[in-house]
Amino acid sequence: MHRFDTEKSERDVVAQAISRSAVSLPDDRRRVIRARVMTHVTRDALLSRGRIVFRRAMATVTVAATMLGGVSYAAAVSLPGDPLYGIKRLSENVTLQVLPDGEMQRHFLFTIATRRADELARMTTDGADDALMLRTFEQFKAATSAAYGDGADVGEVTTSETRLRERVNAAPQPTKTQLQNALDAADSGAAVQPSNDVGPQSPGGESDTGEESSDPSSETTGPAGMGRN
Amino acid sequence: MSDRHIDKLVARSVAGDTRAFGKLYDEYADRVYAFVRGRVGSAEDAEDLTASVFLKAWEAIGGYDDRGLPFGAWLFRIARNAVIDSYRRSARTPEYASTDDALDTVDETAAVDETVFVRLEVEEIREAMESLTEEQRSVLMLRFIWGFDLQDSAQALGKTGGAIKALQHRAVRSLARLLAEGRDNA
Repeated sequence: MHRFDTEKSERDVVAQAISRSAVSLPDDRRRVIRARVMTHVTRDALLSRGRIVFRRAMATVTVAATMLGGVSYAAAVSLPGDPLYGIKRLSENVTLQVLPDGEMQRHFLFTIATRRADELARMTTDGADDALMLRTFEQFKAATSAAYGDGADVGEVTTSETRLRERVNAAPQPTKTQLQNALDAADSGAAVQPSNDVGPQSPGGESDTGEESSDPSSETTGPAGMGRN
Repeated sequence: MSDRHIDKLVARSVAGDTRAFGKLYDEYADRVYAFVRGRVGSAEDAEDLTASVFLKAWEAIGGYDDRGLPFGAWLFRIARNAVIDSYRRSARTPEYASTDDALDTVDETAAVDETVFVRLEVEEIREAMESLTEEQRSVLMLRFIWGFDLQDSAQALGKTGGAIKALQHRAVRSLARLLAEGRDNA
């Protein structure tokens, strides 16, 4: 009779016996179970993604409604230099962050450009400070440049673009001409420097960096009565 | 598959990557099935339970934190709980004896003939396994089928490394004795 020499050899032999006795899963049955599991998992993942998109859309609506409606109408109608103007710009940037890339974001960029055009028209009528108007005009150009993108077809965002052009056409001269020129330049992808500077402005009306635009063309193409004019 | 590769698949699965989870299924399906097949009466039940284990794992993986428990140990816990739940649902009594009873029956001094094991039929081994306690069977499964070390086995069963070592020792001795007795009686 051959006895186990050591505890280790006993354990090894038991391990081999257990391995031999373990029931293996046949390949065809493994595939069947896999199909069952993955069908459920894939469906669940798709539902989760749908819920995420829905939540983002709801967040956008909530942000827009809260920041521009429920909380402060005064902020929504404020002009650069007003104490509440920073809240208006902040809400725009938060909304841009939560919007999914694509059509919805481009719609909102045109909306931002329309707001800047509206502000410039009202500032022209009010005889606002030249530097403030110049800065607002730069933000108008940045928004239109981002909205048009790299020469992308307006396509699905035609309504927003039309609304912007209507607002520009309603602006008093000489701001109207300058805005139209900037708009056409952005549409053709020329002259307007691409920029992401649509960020928030402080309540005092200053830019985030406190710097004026270093682009000489921004002064020469700005609305009459702004900058050096 | 390396631990690092598994960690990456787990991280991708936590982020909702279904293909990564499919690869985890490919890696662990055999082990989960082997575990549950030893606890339920039919192959069909074992397949249903295996699918159930992975579905539960997918539902829970969003909250999985690898700092607390290795993925394999985490998955084993799900499988073990699924087996226990299936017993409860079917109002069946688990087929294993209590831990205390089993420990009392172990003769630590008994020597077992190694040649007995070589001649053993698979069915004899399975029957002997069913005579062990649930914890003993789990330890043997983790150590010899799932390939866990003592530490991972301890985490999977919620015990200390020392307790697992003692449990394994008694399980091996019990199994060796049961198999030798079966052979002698044949």
